[in-house]
Formats: sequence, structure tokens, C-alpha cells
Amino acid sequence: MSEERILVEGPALRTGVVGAYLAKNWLGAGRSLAIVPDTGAASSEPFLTRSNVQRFHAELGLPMEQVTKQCGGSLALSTSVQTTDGPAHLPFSPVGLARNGVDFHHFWRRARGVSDQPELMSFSLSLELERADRTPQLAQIAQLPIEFGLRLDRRAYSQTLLSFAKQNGAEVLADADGHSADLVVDCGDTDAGPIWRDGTLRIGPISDIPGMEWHVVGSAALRLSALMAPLNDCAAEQREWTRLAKAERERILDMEELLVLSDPTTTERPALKRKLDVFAACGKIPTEDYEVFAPPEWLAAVWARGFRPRRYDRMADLLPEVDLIGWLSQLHSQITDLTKQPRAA
Amino acid sequence: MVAKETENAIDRVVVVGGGTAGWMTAAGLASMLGPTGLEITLIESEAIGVVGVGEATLPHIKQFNDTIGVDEAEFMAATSATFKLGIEFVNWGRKGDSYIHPFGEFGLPNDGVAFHQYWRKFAGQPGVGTLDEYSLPVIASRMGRFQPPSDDPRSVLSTYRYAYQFDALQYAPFMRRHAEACGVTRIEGKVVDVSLEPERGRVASLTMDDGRTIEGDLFIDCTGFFGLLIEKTLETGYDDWSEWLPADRAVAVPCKSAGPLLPYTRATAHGAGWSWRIPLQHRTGNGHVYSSQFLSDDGACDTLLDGLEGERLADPRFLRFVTGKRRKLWNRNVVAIGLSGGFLEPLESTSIYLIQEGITKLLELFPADQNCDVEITEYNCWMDLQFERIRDFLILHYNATERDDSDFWNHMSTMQVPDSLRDRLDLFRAHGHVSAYDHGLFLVPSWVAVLIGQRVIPDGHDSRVSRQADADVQRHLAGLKSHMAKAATSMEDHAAYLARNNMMRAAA
Repeated sequence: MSEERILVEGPALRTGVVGAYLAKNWLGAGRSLAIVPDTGAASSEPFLTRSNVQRFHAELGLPMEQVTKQCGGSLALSTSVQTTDGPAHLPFSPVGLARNGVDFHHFWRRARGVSDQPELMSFSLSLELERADRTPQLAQIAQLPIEFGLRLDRRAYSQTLLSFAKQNGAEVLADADGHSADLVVDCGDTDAGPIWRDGTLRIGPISDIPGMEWHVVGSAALRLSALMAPLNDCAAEQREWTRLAKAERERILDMEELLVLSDPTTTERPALKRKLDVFAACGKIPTEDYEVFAPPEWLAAVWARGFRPRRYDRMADLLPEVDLIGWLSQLHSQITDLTKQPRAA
Repeated sequence: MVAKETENAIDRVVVVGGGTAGWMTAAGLASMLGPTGLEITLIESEAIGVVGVGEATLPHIKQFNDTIGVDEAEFMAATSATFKLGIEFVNWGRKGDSYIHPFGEFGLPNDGVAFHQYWRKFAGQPGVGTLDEYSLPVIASRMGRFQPPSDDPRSVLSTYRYAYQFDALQYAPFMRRHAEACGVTRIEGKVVDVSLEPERGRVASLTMDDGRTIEGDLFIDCTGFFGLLIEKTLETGYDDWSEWLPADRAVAVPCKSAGPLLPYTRATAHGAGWSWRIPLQHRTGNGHVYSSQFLSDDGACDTLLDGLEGERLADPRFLRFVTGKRRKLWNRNVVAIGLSGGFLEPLESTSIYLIQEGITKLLELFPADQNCDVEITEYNCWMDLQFERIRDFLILHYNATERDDSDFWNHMSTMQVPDSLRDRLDLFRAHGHVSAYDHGLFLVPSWVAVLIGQRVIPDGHDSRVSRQADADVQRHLAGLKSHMAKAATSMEDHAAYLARNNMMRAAA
């Protein structure tokens, strides 16, 4: 049997992510992996990884402590994006606490009707910690009920992953001259959609939303690995990879449109329209298959764009009013107390 | 709630029809929303029989029962219930074949690769055995064993869930007691007329056979196939799926129990359909689902009676149905739950699941007032997806077969299937990958169970499997198989478990 060869090319960060993952999860006897990173784009600017970064590094066997130390990392509890109405902060973790399956904001809405309440987003521990500049360090985060991503130095992280790929058997090359491959993974910038056809897998466009570059490239690698088959006999897998990648792209475009349209209610994107309509009607945010953004991010995004539900969930009425007010007060106090704790050394 | 238009407020729900769907809906709404002031009335007539849909269930029903506060032991005894770890399919891939679709995993994933991929590579080699031998619920089912799953995720005894097989004719009264305790008002009688609001065409009130008028804000149609409100009144329309699922009749008959109480349902394929066998504490439920295009009623009845394992306890009862669903499960101010909303043959015990899903989604979207077009659209969108994905899974059973011994099977195995299913089959046939979705009842292990069980053996396997030395994988397979068998042996006899936990119904 002849050797199977994969060539990964494009910006250093992206080739590092894909290369490291394939080196760990695909390379083996009878296979070779070559990476051609464009290191010119690898500045030291920080970039964001989302909360699935933990799973990604766990699968590679790269300790989070090592990554954060080598790459000047700090924890990130949310994504910040600019909208036409100003900045929006999308937390990775729920705002407040759900109760009996009912999201917190329904209780907040009811409480707001009977007494003064702080703004909804001030019940987000993630956002309040970041606002108070009290983002915890890695060693502290396990004690808190919040999801986190990482802000990393782009160049250092690219180098870390490329080195990791090399240690796990990949070749890192200056150029692709003379290297043929059964599959070329093209991580370069493009406006064309994601597709895996014949011998080329194109990752597709990268959104400007912080965290999306890492997410899209990482999930492309995960998906490719999960659908691995002989490279000369994988037509069904190619179709499935493309279907899933396109679905992911659609979900990202939904969020982009929500954030950038001057009037998001004019959207013609069916899934976004569904989300906005249902949220405005009853405060629920329906999800599609293969969502990219978590429910708290959608909630914060629609909230930032000025959407408010016309009613709250009837089940929020099950909590006696005095208990409701007391619960919210206690919750807010706990969040405030946490934002006043001393900074870690 | 805020933004409620008082004159249009939804404070009164009228459930029309008792039976499983009616009383589950009433109990669910009353348990969750009764304390918020929602007034729930259920109308049923003792003169109208109930179909008694779905004696076999899926594990989700436990969550429903738990949520509304049902005590499991009390429920088991009251409904003559047995536990269920899966469904055995006999004669589906080929005559003589048997596999179990379990409520649980096959093996354990290794290095991020699904277990069945390792099994595929070594299938057919000495000692490797069938995929079934790596599923604890399958092994336990075959041995007639049961115990609730372990809470310890490290234990192999945590790799399954369970459902129930119960007497639906006893379940509805049980739910009725629960619902009435939660404040549901029952009205005995028949609905003889339905009044609509002249402008908006919504149901305004129902006239009873004794002349009473029952008004409501939201009506739940649980009148079964008749569809009194959703179809006879609102003429909602029906999506007919007979093209893919041509079975349109069933004949049912109970018989005396024979042999040990088995913790699984059996679905046996015949020449033009299939028969069910559901073991309860006091009897066995049997039925034959068939296509009248390919088999006469007499022929279907003969097949059913010939296969009974015990003495027949009643005359055979025939049902007619059209597989499909209402175009809108929620139309104006009527929500169709149960058979009034649609029918999918009970091959995978999905009838009660769909009732439960209808209730759950209604609770989630329960509107404040009649200004609820968005909630209606969302409900219908969600339920359509549930129905369609179950439909595809049912079609799989008929289409993925090597049977060619009747016109029925030749038709089913060569028909054009929905694109969504065709792509899924192509993907699996290539290298055993399963296309997963987030919103649908049947997850990857279910697809694997039926595909492998019906001889859809992938041409190849995930290439990551070859990263491990063959000897290591084979050692792992042998160890796992042995571990599973030992764990199943440690479980209690199913009937003994029921008796020890006071779950047996007292003899009449």
C-alpha cells in the first residue's frame, strides 16, 4: 500500500492548529504530514480561543498550564464584538442561574416588574469579573462555575503547535515545492465557502468575530479527523465534511448579521429570523443543529441589539415573589463580592 | 407574565379526549402550570373506547414521570409494568436474524474513535463475536436480567438507560388520578358540536351531549385518529407518508404470558409487515402491523394468532391508519397531541415519546395570550423535525434489508428513500461513520444498532483504528466482552427485581 500524504498550508496559526491535531490523531505508519506555514502573518498580537480550547488541548495531550505559560496566555470569559449600537460582550457562561429548567432572564424579567433590579448582564459572573479586571488565573478557575477560553500570543502559540506537530512526526517546510499530496488542506484566506472535494480541503472564510479563526480551523481539523477514511476512497466523507462545515458557516453568518445589521429584524436568514422572532415573543432562543455560539452568547447578542421579550416564561411565576426578590438580591451580592476579591498574584 | 392581553389571555385549557395522550397532557400541564393559575379541564366519554396506544416506551418517559412527581414503584404496580432495556428485531436483515436495539452504548470509545469502528476491523475473526456482545443492555436482555443503571460514570453498569412496558389501559387511569390530584377537572360526556369564533376561526366552545357548553382559551385535541378539533373542525390537512411507510393496518390481541418476564420488546418481521410482542406482568401484548396493499386482514390475523406464545385472552381488534402527520400540529388555538397529531408505526416505541415531546414543547412555549403566532410556528417547526427524523429511522428498518422473499420486501428494499436518509446510508456504508444531529430522538448508537443489526456492514473502517496495534485492540475487545458478560451476570433476574421492589401488581 502506498503512503498517504497530507499537506497543510496557510497562515502559521491555522496550519499549526490543523497540523498539530492531524499529527496527533492521524499520523501513523504509512502516512506523512507536511506543514507549510506562512509565518509572515504570525505577529505577536493576542488572539482568542473559545471555551472548547480545553477539549482541544486535552486531545492533543498539551497541558493548559504549559500552553498558557509558553504563549503568554490569559483567561478569557467572553467575546467582545463591535456592533452598530456599540460594543457587545458575549459571555461563555450563563447569565445568572437557570432554575427548574427556566433560564434566569425570565426570573429577572418578572422581578423587574415588581422591584428595581440591576441590569440583566450584571448577573453575568463572567462579564462582571472581566469588567472589574478580576479575571481569574488558570489555577483559580476550577473553583468558579464558569467556562473560559484563552487569549494567547499568536506567534508563540503558532510556534508551540508547529513544534508539537513536528515532535509528533510532521514535517514543517518552508515551501511546498516538490511536495505532492493526496490531500491539501488549504487554510488560506478566501471568500469561497468551505469544501472538501477531490484532493483539496478548503477551510473557507474566517469571520472577524474574535475567537472564530481558532474555532473554525480547529473544528475543521476535528471534523476531518473524525471522518478519516483512506484518502483515495472518501467521497461520502468529503460530502459529510462539507455539509457540516457549511452548517457551521451558516451559524457564524447568523451571528455576524445580528451584530452588524443596522436593523436585524430585516434579516432574510431563516435561522436568525427564527431566533429573533421567538426571543421577542417569549424569551426563548431556539437552536439549530451544529450551533457554534452557546446560548449565553446568543442571549447577550440579542440583548445588546435591543431585543426584549414581550413576556417571560409562565413557570417563573412558580417562585413566590418574596423568594424571587431575595434570590436575585443574594445572587447579585455574591457576584459583586467575587469581583471585589483581591487579584491573584 | 407581562404583556398579556387580558381579554385574550390563555387561562383555561380544555383537553378533549382521555386515554394516554389526554391524561398525560392534563397531568403534565397541571403539574407544571396548575400552580400558576392555569385551569385545566379534560372531557372524555366512557362510551368512547381508547386505542391504548403504545404499551412500550422509550427511556425519556422516566424523565416525564419524575418531573411530574410519579413514584416509580407505585407506577409499575398500577400499570402492570415491566422494565425495558431495548427492542429485539427478528427477521429484519434476513429471515432468521436477530439483534437488539439497546438503550445504551456499544463498548466504549477508544482514542476518540467510536467502538464499532474497532469491532468492524476485527469482525469475523475468531472470538470477536457480534456487536451485541459488547452492549450490556443487550446481554442483560438476553439473560432476562435487570437493575437500574449505576450513577458511577466509570462503571460499565452506567452505560445504559431503561424504559417501561406497561398496560396503556391502566396507565391512563393512573395518570388521571395524578392529574385530578393536581387540580384537573374531568367532565364526562361526548362533544356533539364545536363553535368557532366568527372572525378568527378559533375554537370558542364545545357543546356536550347533555347540552352544557364548555369554553376555553386553548384546546388540546387528544381524540385520537378522529381528530375532532384539529381535522374535523379546523380541516388542518395531513402529510401522508405512505410512500415510504406503506403499513396502514394493525391487528392486536393480548395473550397469557408464557415463559419468563423479558426486559425487552420484540418486533418480528413478516411477509408484509411485522408483529410486536410486549411482555407485561399479567399478560403479553401482541399485534401485527401490515400493509393492506400486500396482505389481507385475514392473512394478517392468521399470522398474528399463529405466533402467539400463550392462550389468547380477547378477540383480535383491527386498526386502520395512515402514516404521517398533521400539516400543523398546532393550528389556531388547537394543539393536536397523540394520534390526532399523526401516526408513526410503533416499531421503535415512539408513540408515547411523541406525546411527551408535544407536552414538553407546549410547556416551554406556553403562550400568555392568543397573540402567539410565533410560538405556534416554533412549535410546529420543532414537532415537524421530530416526526421527520423518526420517520427516516423507521424507513431505515425496511430499506436496509437483504430480504427478497415477498413483493412487500422487494418494494421496501428498492424504494427511493428521503435524501437525508440516503446520504446517511452512503456515509455509513463507506467507512462506518454516522452522521449525527443535535435535535432528534435517535442518537449514534441507535443508528449503529440498526445498521449493523440489519447487515449494513461498512466497506471499511475509520483509518484511525489502524494506529493501534492489532494485538492490543484484540486484547481490549476480549477484555471488554468478558467484562460486559460478568456485569450482566451480576444483575438481578428481572421478575425477581420487580417483586423485591414491590412493583408487582396485586392479583385481582
